[in-house]
Amino acid sequence: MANKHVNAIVVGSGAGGGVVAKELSEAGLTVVLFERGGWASYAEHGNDELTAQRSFPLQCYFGPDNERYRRVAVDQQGNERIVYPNDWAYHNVAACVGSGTVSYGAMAWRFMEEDFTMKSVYGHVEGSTLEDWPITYADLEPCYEKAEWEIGVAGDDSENPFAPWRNKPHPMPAFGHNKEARMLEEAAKKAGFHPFSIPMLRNSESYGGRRACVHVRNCVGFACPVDAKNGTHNTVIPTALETGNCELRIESQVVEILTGESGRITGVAYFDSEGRKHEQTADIVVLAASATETPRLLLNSASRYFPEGVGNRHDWVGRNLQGHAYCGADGLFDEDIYDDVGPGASVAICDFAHNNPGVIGGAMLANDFIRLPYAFTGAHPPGSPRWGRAHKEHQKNYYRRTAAVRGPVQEMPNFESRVQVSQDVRDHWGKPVAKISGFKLDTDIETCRFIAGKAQEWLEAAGASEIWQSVPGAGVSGGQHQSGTCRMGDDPHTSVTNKYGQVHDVDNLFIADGSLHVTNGAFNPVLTIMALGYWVSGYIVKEWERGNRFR
Amino acid sequence: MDGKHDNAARDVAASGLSRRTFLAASAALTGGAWFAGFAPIRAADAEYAILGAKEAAIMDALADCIIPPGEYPGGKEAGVTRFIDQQLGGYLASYRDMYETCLPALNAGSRAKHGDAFVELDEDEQIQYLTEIEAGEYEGQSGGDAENLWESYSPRAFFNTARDHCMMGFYGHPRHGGNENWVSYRMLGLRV
Repeated sequence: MANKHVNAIVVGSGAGGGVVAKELSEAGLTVVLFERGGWASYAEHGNDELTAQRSFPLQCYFGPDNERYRRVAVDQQGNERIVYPNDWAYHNVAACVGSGTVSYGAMAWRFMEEDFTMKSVYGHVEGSTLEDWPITYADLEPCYEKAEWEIGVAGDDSENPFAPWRNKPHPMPAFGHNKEARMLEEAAKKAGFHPFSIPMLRNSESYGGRRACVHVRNCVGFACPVDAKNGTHNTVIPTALETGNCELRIESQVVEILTGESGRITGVAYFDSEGRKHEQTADIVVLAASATETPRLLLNSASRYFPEGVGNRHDWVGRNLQGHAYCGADGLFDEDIYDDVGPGASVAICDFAHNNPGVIGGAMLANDFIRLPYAFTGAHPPGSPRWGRAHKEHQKNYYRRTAAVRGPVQEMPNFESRVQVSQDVRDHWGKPVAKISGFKLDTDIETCRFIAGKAQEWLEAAGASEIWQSVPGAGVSGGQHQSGTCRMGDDPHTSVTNKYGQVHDVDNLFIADGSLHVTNGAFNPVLTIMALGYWVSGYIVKEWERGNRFR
Repeated sequence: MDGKHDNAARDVAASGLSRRTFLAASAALTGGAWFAGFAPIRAADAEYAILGAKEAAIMDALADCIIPPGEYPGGKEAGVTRFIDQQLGGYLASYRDMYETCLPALNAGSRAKHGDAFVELDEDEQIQYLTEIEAGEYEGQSGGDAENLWESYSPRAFFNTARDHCMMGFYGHPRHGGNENWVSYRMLGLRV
C-alpha cells in the first residue's frame, strides 16, 4: 500500500532531525520522521560498559549493528579495509530514536563568535579549505537559546569570561563539582585560568516534567536511569508526536533520495524492518542523518539530473570531513581524588579556545568523564606494564587517583578528508557503503601539542605526581563529532547548501545536521547542531507560511 | 549478480580468516607428539560451548598471567575463560578461528622452546614466555614446527588480542560471563 504524501520528510532523529520534526509539525506541516534504529532504553542496556557508546568492544548497544552495517576505512598508506560499527575507524553515530543525544555526555556548548569567522581570524591556512560561516554567532544566538530552553540546559556563563554574549540565561542552575573537579577548579585558579561549570543538557533540577540528575557513574555512553539527561528523544520528538502532524517511522533505512521530472526532489526510498522497500513522497526533504550518512545518501542518489549525486555539481559533497583532534594530559595523584559522583566532567576553561600566540585555533579544556574499569585498563602511564601483576596493582591503586584533562582541538578543514561511496562494497540493503579517508594537517597536531601542554600545566597546579600528555595521530577525524561534509556557504562553487541549509539548485532539499558546519568549533558540537535545526526549520516555516512550497 | 554476495566474500577475504574447520587444523598438528592426545578437543564438554577442556585449561593459565590472583581473584577465578567462550559464540565469533589455532599453538610453542607445555610451566616461566611473545620473538619464524603451529596468525597479535579480551572479561559487566560477582569492581572500591 502506498504511503500518504506528506509535506516534509526528515531523515534522522538525532540532534538536528528531532528539532526539525518538532518545528515543522508544530507549524502545521505533516511530517514523517525516519529513524533507522528503534527506541533505546536504560532498562534494556543498563550499566554494560562493553556495549556502551563510548568504548564498544563487543558492540554498540545504541546502534548501528555489526550485522547490517559496514564501511570502508582508508589508512594513511591508502590501504582499504572493511570496518564494522564497533571499530573506531567506522566513526559510528548512534542508530536509535534521538541518536547520540540518548547516550552522549551532554555538554551544551555554544560556539564562540570566532568559531564562525575562522578564516577572518586566522587567515589562509596552507592546505586547508578554511572559510568563514555564511552566518554569524548573532544569527544563531536565538536558536541556541531555543535549544537551551526547549531541550534543557544547566549552566551559568558568569564564571566564564570567554563565553559569547547571550540574551537570556540558561534555564537551570549550573552543576556543582565532585571531589576531583573541586580540586581541579582550585588548581585552575592557582594557574591563572578561569574555571567554570560546564553547561550540560542534563537536569540540575526537575525540568520539562522529568527529574534532576542523580549523578550516576555510567553517564556518557549510557541511557540515563532516571531520564534526567535531555536529548531529542525525550523532548522535541515527543512534542512533535503530540501535535498529531508527525509520524515517527522507526527501523526504517532510507536508501535513496528520489528525483522526479524536472529535477525536483519527490521523496525517499526506504526499507522497513522486514526488508520491504517503500517510497515516501513529500513536498520537501530534510536530511539529518549525520556527516557521514547525509553525504552518502546524496552520493547514492545519482540520476540523470544529478549524475554525480544530488547537490554534488561542484564535487563538494563529502569533502572537509572533520571531527576534533582530542588531546590533553593525564596525571597520577598521591591520594584518592575519586568520590564516585558522576558523570565526572564538570569543570572547564576556555582560556585557550582562541587567541593563542603562534597557534591556529585551540580548544576548550575540561576534566574527563569517569573512565570505567575496562576503559581504564588502557589509561595507564606510557611504558607501564600492559598486563600481569603490576598492571592489576595499578588498576587497584590508581583507579581512584587518576585525573585527565582533555580538549577538542578545532581542526582546519581539508578537501581530501572525505566521505565517498565505495565502488565495490555494499551494505545489507545493497547500497554502496561510505568510504572514509583523509588526514589531519600538521597545524592541527601543533595546536594539539600546545593544548596538551596547557593540560599538563593544569595538572601540575593540581599537584599530580606523574603527568603524561596525549596527542593524536595524523589520521582522519570524525567520530561522534563528525561534521563539515555538506558545508553551507554563499558560493555554490565551494559549498553544498546556502546559509539556510538549502541545497544549492535543489529548492526543496535541506540539510540540518553537522554536515553543514564550515568549521567545527573548539567545543563539542551538539548544541550547535540543535541550533542549526532551529535555524533551518525557522527558514522553512517562514517561507511555508508565506506560501512558498519550494517548487 | 547480487552485490551482497560479492561483498560477503570480500568480507571474509578482508578479515584474514580462512573458513577451514578446527578439525582440519588439528589434523595438521598431530605431527607434534604431545598433541596427539589432544585430538578429541571438540568432544562434548559440559562447561564450555566453544572451547574444549584442554583449550579452556590453556586459556585459564593465560588469563591468570594477564590478571594474576592475589589479594583479589585472578582472571581464571573471575570467569575470564567463560567470558571468552561465550563471546566466541557471540560478539567475538570472528576470533574463534584465532583462538582455536593459537591456544594450542601457545602450548606447543612452549614445549618446542622450553620443553614443557605452557600450562605445565611455573608462573615465572609462563610470564617469561609471554613476554617473549609480546616482544615479537616468535614472529615470522621459519623452519621446524613453529610456523605450522601458529599458521597465518602472528603470536604477538594473538597475545595482544587475548590480553584485551581478558581485560574485558575481568573488568566488564558480568552479564557477558566474566567479572564474577563484580570482583573487579570490588577491587577498585566501586559500589555495585
